[in-house]
Amino acid sequence: MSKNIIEARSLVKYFGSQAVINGVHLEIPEGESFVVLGSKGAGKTTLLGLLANFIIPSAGDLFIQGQNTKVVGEAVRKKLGYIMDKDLFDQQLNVEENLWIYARYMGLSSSEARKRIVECMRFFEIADYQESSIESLNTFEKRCLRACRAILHKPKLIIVDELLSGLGLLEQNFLTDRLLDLKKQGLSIIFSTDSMMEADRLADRVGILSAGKLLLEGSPSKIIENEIGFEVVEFDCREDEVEYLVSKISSSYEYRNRGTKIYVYIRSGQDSRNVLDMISGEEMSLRRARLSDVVTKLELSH
Amino acid sequence: MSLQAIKPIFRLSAFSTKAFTSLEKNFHIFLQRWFLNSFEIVVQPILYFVAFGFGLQKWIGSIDGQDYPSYVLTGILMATSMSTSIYESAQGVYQRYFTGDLYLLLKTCPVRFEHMLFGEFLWSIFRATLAFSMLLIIGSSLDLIAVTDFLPLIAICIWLSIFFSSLGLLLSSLVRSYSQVYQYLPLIVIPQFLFCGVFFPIERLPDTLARFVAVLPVSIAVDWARKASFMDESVLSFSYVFLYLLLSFFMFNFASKRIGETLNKKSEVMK
Repeated sequence: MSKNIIEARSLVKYFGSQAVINGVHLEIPEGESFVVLGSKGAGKTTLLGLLANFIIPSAGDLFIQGQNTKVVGEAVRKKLGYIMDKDLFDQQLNVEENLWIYARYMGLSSSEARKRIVECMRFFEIADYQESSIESLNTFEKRCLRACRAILHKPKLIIVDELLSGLGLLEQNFLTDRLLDLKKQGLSIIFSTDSMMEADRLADRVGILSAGKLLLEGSPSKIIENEIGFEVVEFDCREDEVEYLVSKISSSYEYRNRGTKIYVYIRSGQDSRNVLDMISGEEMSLRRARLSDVVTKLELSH
Repeated sequence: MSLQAIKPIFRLSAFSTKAFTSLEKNFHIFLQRWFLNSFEIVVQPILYFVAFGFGLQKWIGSIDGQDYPSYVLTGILMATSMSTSIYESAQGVYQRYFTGDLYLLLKTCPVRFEHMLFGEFLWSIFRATLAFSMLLIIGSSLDLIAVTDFLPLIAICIWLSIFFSSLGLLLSSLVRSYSQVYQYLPLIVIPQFLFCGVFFPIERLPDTLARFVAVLPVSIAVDWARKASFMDESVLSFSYVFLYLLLSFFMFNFASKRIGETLNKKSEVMK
């Protein structure tokens, strides 16, 4: 049986009187990649901060490689690399110096730090920027640098918060490939993203967070199958048609609507052609169900 | 205040070898522009020394058997130790930890803010000792200070820097903005610079003021530095040294705990 790299038991985090994370249970086995999905404000960053021992929980327990973070304290951070959703670099230091100081904070000896900096910079293909100033780097290079810094100390787990947002497709692919390479090397990855495509590529399992609660958890295909089914028909209609169309569809199909946009979920065994017949004349699209549909469905259910 | 609340002040949790990383970082940044940085920390004391030491020598001649330039230099050495350490710890810490959010990065590492603050504390002592040593060399090259006095003088400088570094940290833990650091620092530094025997003997001050000023750390340091040997010192004088060290310990612990708590709270809100 595989051991858990991380185990959260009833994690709760209050900011003031508001519970931002509300009783999250989570077990992630070693070597697994787990993607946290959720809309903005769902509590993804706070959950990742809690799992990274960056934020102290108001209640609950967190175990990293079997060690209770309450007992071990900050020393547990040596086991993990946390890529925050911010560019935190010392502008007074160049790229290599930023990495070197961080490696020293992580407890690496000076010579070990130098060796790892070269390895990690090569891995993220930023070796040419060793002497560059931070301000001379573009957004993508800074993201690579963030990721590079997080693996300097050879963590067992990396927690990645919104690393891909705002990047181009090629850049997203490059970073996802690197993360997958790290996974192949045995690292566990916890990842939060808005990009469903990358989530699909990265995730062994996904967790869908809504209002601080982990509503669903499982493999992407299982979650899609259970929650959505097989296909999705998505269409826009006129405002005065919504009620009529919904009444026609709801008898046989599960659906959600956001204003005049209607999503119809086709389970396996159901025929999407019936839906298409019902709404003929509307502008529509029929496609395979995907993770983003699960998030949308959950959002619209609340 | 309950016993539980007082207890952390006696904790030694900030004293960790991890502190040396923060010392190492500051030293590394200092070395990047070592010439400019070295110039910056000695230029002001040199100007004071030239202006007062040589400028007033013709009228003052000597005090207590010491030539005025030599007399002033000893005082300026101690004042430098005070101002460098307090400015570095108060202003440096505030700038590095409370402006911007680079401090958040430390929370992803197996270190505590208290460890890093201990490193900052050590760095401000080191920087003050560096400025002090450079002035010692200049003084010695002008035949105003004997090389044999270097070690005891450096010991006094370190003692004084310990006190003022802790005081600087305490200040940065209490102020609410960067501009407040600049408002309060002169209130601590200037009176001691002017009245603690740097330029003239304390005895010239009105009695009540002289009695108060005599027990301030800069006065004690200046007095010690001008004496030929520590053996001449009274037990009372030694007891002040220990008293100020003890006070430094409490100030440091209180400040590092307070700053640590503030940053921990701030970092969670930042999320």
